[in-house]
Amino acid sequence: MRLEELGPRLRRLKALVEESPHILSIAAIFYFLPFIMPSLYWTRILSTAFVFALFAMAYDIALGFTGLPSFGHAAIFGMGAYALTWCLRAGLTLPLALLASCAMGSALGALMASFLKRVREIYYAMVTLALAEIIHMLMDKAVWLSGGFTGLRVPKPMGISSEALFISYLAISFLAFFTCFFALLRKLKVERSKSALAYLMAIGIVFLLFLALGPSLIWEALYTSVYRLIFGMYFTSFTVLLASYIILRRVVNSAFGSVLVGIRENEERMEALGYDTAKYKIMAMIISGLFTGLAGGLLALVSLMPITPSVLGAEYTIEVLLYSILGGLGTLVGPMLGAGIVVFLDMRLRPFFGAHWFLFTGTLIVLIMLFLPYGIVGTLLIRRVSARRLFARLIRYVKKRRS
Amino acid sequence: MIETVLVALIDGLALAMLIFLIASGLTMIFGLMGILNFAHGAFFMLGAYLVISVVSDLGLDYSVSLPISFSIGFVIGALVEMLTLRPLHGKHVAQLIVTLGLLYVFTQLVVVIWGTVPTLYIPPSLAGGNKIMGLTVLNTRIFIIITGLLIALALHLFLSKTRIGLIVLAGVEDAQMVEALGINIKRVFTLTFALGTALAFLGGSLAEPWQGANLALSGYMFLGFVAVVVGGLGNYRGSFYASLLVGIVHALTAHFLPILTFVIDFLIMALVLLIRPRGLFG
Repeated sequence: MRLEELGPRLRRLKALVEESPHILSIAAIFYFLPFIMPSLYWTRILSTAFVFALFAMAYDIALGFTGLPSFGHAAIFGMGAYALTWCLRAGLTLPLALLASCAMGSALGALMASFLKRVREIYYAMVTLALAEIIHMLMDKAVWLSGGFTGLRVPKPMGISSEALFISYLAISFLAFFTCFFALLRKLKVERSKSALAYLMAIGIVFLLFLALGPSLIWEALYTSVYRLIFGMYFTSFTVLLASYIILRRVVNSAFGSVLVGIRENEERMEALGYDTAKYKIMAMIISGLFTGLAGGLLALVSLMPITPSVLGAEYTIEVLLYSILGGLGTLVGPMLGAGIVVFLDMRLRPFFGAHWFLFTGTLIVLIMLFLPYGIVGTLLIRRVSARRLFARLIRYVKKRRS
Repeated sequence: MIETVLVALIDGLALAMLIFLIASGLTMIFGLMGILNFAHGAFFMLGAYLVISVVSDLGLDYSVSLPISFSIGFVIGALVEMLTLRPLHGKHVAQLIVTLGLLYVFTQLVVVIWGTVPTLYIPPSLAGGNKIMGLTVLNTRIFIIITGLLIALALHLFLSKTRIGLIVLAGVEDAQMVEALGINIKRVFTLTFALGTALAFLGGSLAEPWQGANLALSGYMFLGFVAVVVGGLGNYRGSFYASLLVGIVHALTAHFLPILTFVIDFLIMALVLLIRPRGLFG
C-alpha cells in the first residue's frame, strides 16, 4: 500500500467507527472479558458460545433470510470440523486450515443447493436431511477417514499458545478500547447522544475492572502456556465471529440481501420482477455453508476433544434451529443471542436433565414456534414499532381532545 | 445365490409393507395439509415399544397389542394435530420446525420410558419358519406381508368406499374447494393426521417381531420419505407401488452391498426429484 493511500483509508475507518460505535464497543468489552472472568472455565464456555453463535448466524442466512428450510447443516458443520482436523494433522497452519473448513463448507452448501433448481420448501427439507444422514452414515463407516468411535485427536496448531499471539491479542484489545473510547467521547460532545454515554459507561466499567483484575492474570499467562492456549482460542474464535458478523451484516444489508428477503416473502413475485431466484438461493446456501464450515472448524479448534462422527449428527441441526428461532429468525443478532442463552442454559441445566436434554430442547422448540414465533429479538423489534405507533396515536388523541 | 435373492425378495416385500404403513400416512398428511411430518419416525418407533409394554407389563397377547397400538396412535395423532399444528395453519416452515421438534420430544420420551437397551419379543405363534421348496421362510415375514396387504386393502376400501374417505381424498385434491362446499376441513385435517399416526403406530407394532424395539427404527422414516417422493405426493396408491420398489431395492442392497444401504435409496429419491418431481406413479 502506498503511503498517500493511508490517509483516506484511516479516515474511512474512523467514519465507520463513528457510524456504528456499538459494534466496536461490544468488541472491546468482549476482548477484555476473559481478564475479568472469575475463572478460565468461563473463558472456555464463552469460546464455545462464539462458535455456536457463528453457526447460528450462518444458518439464519439460509432459514431466516432466504426461507430455505435446510435441515442438513449439521453435516456441513461436522465436515468443516473434519476439514480443519485433517489439515492440522497434515501439518498445515491454522489460517490455512480455517480456509479449508470454509472451502469444505461452501462446497457442501453448493452440493445441497444443487437440488434447489428443482426442489422447493418441504422437498428441500427432506432432501437436505436425507443427504446429511447419508454423509453422517458414510463417515461413520469410513473409520480410516473419521477415526470412528474414538475420533481423531485435533493437534494444537502452531503458535496458538505463543507469547507473540498473546501480546498481539492484548495490543488489539487496547487499540479497540482506545479507538472506541475517543470515538464515543467525540460523539457525546458533538451529538449529545445518550446511547454513546451508555456505551462509554459500559466500556469504562469493564476497563476499570480490567485494570483491577487483569494484571495478575496477564502476568500468569506470560509464564504458563495453558493460560495462553485458552486466551489464544478465545481471541481466535471471537475475532472470527466479529469478522463474520461484519461481513454478513454487509451481505444482509446489500441489494443482494434484500433480494433474499424478497424470495422468503414471495418467491413468485421476485421471479415476476425478473430475478433469477434459483441463482440467489444457491448463492445464499453457499454463503451459509461457508460460514457453517468455518464454525465447524472453530469447534474442532476450541473443544479440545477428539472429533468423532457424532459431530455430523442431526442433533446439531436441532441445536442450531433452537438458537435461531429462540433469538429470532431473519436477524443476525438474534441467533447469536439465542446461541449464548442456550449454551449458558446447557451448562447450568445439563446436570439436571442429564441424558434427557433433547426432551427439553425439543419441547422448547415446539413452545417457541407456538408462542414466540418471532423469537426474542424479532419480538422486541416488532414491539418497538408498535409502541411508537401507540405513542403517535396517543398524541393524536390528546390533540383531538384539546381542539 | 438364487436362494439369497429369494430371501432378499421376501425380506423386501415385508419391508415394503412397513414402508407403506409409514408412507401412506405421510403422503396423505402432506397432500391434504402441506405438512411433512418429521415426527412420523418417532411414531413408528413408539408402536414397536408399545408392543413390548403390552406384552410384558400388561401380560396380554401380541395380537391384542395391534388394535391397542392403533387406537393409542389415533389419540396421540389427534392431540398433536390439535395442540401444535392447528394454531400454525398455513405456515409451512413453522409447522416443519414444530414436527422436527416433536421428533426429538417423542424419541427422548422413548428413552425416558423404555431406556436405550434394544429389546426383541417374538410371539410364540410367529417363531421359527417353514420350508417351502427347500427355502426357509420365516413366519414373521409372512405375517408382516399378509397383515400389511390386509391393512392396505382396508385403507383402500375406507378411502374409496366410505363418505369420510372420499372427503379426505377430495381434500387432497383441493382443500379449499372442499371447505367451500361446507365441510369442516379442520376436522378432516385432524382425522387424517390421526389416521396417519395410527398407521405409523401399527407399522411399528408389526415391525417389532422382526426388527425388535430399538432407537434405530425411526430411521425407517427416510425410506418412507423416499416412497412418498417416488409415489407422488398425496397419492396413496402410488406410495404403495413405490413402497414395493423401495423395500425390494433396500433389501437387495442390504444383502449384496451393505455399505450402500440408504445411499441407494437416497439416490433414487434424488433422481426422481430431478427427473420427475411429481413422482413415478403420479
